Amino acid sequence: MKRLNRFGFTAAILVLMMSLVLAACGGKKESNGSSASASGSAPASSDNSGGKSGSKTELLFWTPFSGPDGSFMKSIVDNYNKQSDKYFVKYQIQPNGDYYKLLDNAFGTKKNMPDFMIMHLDSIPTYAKKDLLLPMDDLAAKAGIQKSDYVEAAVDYANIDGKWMGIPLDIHPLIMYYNKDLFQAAGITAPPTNKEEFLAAAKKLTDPSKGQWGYVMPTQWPQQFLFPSLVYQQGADLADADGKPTLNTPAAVAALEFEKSLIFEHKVSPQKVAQDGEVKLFLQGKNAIQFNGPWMKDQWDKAKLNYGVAPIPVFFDKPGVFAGSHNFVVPKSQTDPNKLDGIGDFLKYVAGHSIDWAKSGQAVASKAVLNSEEFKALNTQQTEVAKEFDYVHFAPPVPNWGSYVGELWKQINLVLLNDGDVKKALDEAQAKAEQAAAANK
Amino acid sequence: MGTKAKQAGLILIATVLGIFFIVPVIWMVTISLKSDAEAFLPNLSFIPDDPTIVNYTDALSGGDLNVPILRWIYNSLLVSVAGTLIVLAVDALAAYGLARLDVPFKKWLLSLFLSTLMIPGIIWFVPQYVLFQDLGLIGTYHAFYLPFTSSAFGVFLLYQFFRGFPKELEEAAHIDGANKWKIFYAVLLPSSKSILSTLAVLTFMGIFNDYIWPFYASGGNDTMQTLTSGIAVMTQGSYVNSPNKLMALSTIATIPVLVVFLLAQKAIVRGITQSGIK
Amino acid sequence: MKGSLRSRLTSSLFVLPYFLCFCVFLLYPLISGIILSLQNNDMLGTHEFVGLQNYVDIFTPGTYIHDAFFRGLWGTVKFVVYSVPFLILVGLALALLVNSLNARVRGVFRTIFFIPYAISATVMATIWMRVFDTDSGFLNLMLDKLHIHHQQHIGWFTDTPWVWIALVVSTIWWTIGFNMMLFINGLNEVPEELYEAAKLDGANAWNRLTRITLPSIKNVTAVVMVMTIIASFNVFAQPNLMTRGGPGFETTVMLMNVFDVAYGQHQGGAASAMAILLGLIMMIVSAAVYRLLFRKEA
Repeated sequence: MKRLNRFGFTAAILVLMMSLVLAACGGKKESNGSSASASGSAPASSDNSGGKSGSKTELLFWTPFSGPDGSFMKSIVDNYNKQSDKYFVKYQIQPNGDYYKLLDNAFGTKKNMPDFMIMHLDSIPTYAKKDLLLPMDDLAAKAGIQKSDYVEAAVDYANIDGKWMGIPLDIHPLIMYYNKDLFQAAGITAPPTNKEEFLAAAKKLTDPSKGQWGYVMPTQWPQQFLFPSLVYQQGADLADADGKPTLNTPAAVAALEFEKSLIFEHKVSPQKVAQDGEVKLFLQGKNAIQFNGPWMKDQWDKAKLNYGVAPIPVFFDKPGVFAGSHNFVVPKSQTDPNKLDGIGDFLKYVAGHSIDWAKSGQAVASKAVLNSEEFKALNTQQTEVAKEFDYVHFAPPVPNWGSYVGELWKQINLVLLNDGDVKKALDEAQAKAEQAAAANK
Repeated sequence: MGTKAKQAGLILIATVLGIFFIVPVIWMVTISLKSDAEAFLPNLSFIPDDPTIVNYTDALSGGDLNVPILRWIYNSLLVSVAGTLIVLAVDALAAYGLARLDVPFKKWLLSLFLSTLMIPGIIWFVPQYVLFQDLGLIGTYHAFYLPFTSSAFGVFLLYQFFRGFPKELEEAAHIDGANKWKIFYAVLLPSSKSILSTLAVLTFMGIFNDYIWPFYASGGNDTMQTLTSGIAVMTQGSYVNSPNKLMALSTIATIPVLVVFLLAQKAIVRGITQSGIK
Repeated sequence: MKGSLRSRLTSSLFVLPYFLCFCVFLLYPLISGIILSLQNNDMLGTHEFVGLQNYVDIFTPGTYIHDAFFRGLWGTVKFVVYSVPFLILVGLALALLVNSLNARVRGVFRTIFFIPYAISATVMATIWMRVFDTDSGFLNLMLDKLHIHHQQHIGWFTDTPWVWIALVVSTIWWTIGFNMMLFINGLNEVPEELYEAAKLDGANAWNRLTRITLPSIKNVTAVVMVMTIIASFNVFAQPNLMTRGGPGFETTVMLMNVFDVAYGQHQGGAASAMAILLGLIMMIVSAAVYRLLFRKEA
């Protein structure tokens, strides 16, 4: 019996101990973040009282730059903090996949709201229409930031109802990567610039007996970037000026027919490509050309691929390419003038010093940096990407646009996998998009 | 039919199955030992040409972002252990009450608890966050483990087990004049080591491996983060992962759970019914 | 005697600690969630009460949310039907296997079968995507060597029915440890004497299994069954990370659509309603299966 008593007794003691330990250290509501500088340790909360006595005003900055990107932005922030004696930017990374859930939660519960954050350009309409973002015109003016400091396309898009809602950090369009070794072996001297050259090159580079393909067609991601690009190149769009979806236009049909033809007619791509299949084959040197975003640079570098970068070919009538863009936005609830000044100060700094961000492979939106010698010397990727800035196109500025096109990607997926009827698939996608529009009123 | 032959046959089957289960794990560890140059190559080789532990040293020292990973490990262990102990205590008491005692509205309570198991967590996720905010618990250790104390799984599991125990020991103790509490901790608990250990392991894992809730619970405080959610930040790239770093971090994150499992193994033995009730 | 007020009070004390945790941390947020389902709530701070409108919309053909719900339901139901029987049977089989090994190796295999359960979803997905990829995946490369399906690689993630096989196999690998451990505990409780008596009576292994083992582990089987059904209804990581709900919407499961409605459409109330309905369906299914298998149980 003694042993049994002891068991229960020990368990009870353990629980008691744990509770005491927790009660003791559980009270920690905050402590210093991992960022070095010994400035005021204001808690990261909705407290807008402008920082601690005597030391710098703290600005909480949220980004979705998890993974390899994160450290590049961190250098920018660290350098800014070193040279500023008024402000301290507290840099917080959220995981890329859950970023908007966390952000929405902050908006919804009005707690733990960051002072300013990164938002994707095509998400800005959704939040701006709900009056959750602060127009940046005043802030920019005070900090000496002008719209002409940045690439027009991004600034124009962020201009909603005459107000400037987001200041761009970078623009990331679809870009063409190609395997230089395979090109050389096939005797191709320059990357293709139009449909004819592309088809010729891809066919030359395809040899199914070796398991080598000219261009492996993705059936899931990044169709979100590829399909719209092909539509833009015909002078069309996925929504009209009123924000109504236009997914089954002749241009859309032509775009998808072309994609399909690469698999089933020209046979430069294998069938039944799974998610990331084209990336895996590219890494293996079995895929000669791929279209993806500038963020892939890190992966190619690490795999020591001999790759080249170029703007995507013009398959149809004119150049056009889909892009995303990271922007700085400020929540509407931000009313502290001191903090607003600080945000402006930081953004002004970024406009001049985002070269670090460019090192991650992104092409920055700040003209000052784009035109600098440093940027041009970086490496070819960023300059190739920047070439596309003249004709980048973003997603339609329709709130909740993502839910309109969910079906579109599924239909494209089915068509590419099963050699399906293109018009029917796009009609289906259009019907569902209209349904989403109706639900969004 | 010789039992030795039978054993050999069973071991053979177990080995074949074991290969299916363990090979992917070995592969994960292999990748974690690869340098960047090798890791991004999609070959499926099991032996790194140039094995290195740099991914581990890198991870444990905080990586590019200088994260307090050791503090995270500590946080994770602390809240997982605390949560597990509380869950065990609270669930065992409740399960015993429902299985053996005259709790009023027993059946209703049990149905209520069971039915909440079936409501997907997304419904109460945000309200739970708001509740913790209002209670001022966000950013404290309590926020990390308290939600787990409300799970009905442990109650349900222990309830089924207690129901199945033969009543003789309890009745004997009752005749000896023991009250409910004494019967509980002197008779029932010691006989339940096996299932309690299993519940402990599963609960520990549930708390330790949860990586979504800690984002909300930490309230943005870097040093209050747990290991698994901290890792998600380090490895969930904007669009790509770094496979070798991911695997190294994941291996680090898996080790504590495995240790707990192995420690609990000793208790997972033949239960009370073997201890000679004649 | 039982039934006295005092006795019932002291008995209630046993349930009280859990009941408190339950009410504060689960019931209260759950009720908030139910109220949420009666609102038009964009999760960003704006909300208005709309009564049962969300539920009505779900059952109104032609609305976005109707399709989201029923398509997701169909995907989820398929997964439940395909995965639950295997998850229960394989779990039991592994437990029986492990328990019949001799004591020295038993622990090793128990650990081996359990380890995948400790691995995170991201790593699980990375591993199995490497295995099942169409052109560079491990499985198809193996099949190539054996000259099976050489001409056209099997699209494990891009074709029905292969995609379901891939999902179920990876799910079994990832989660079977849980069921196995519960069954092991259940098996350990079966009195040795029953087996000995049966052997003396001349019962063979199959009889011992069906006449003694299975009936004796009814209680734990009920737990495993309920938890497996719940887990399969709640499946999210595997289709989300590995198949993206494809091909098309074949493997688009309910929770994927719930998140889409909540955060893509910014309709938290509707998403909540979908989840609650899913919960109700789970309850009905669990109760039905339970009654079917354990008719005699109270």
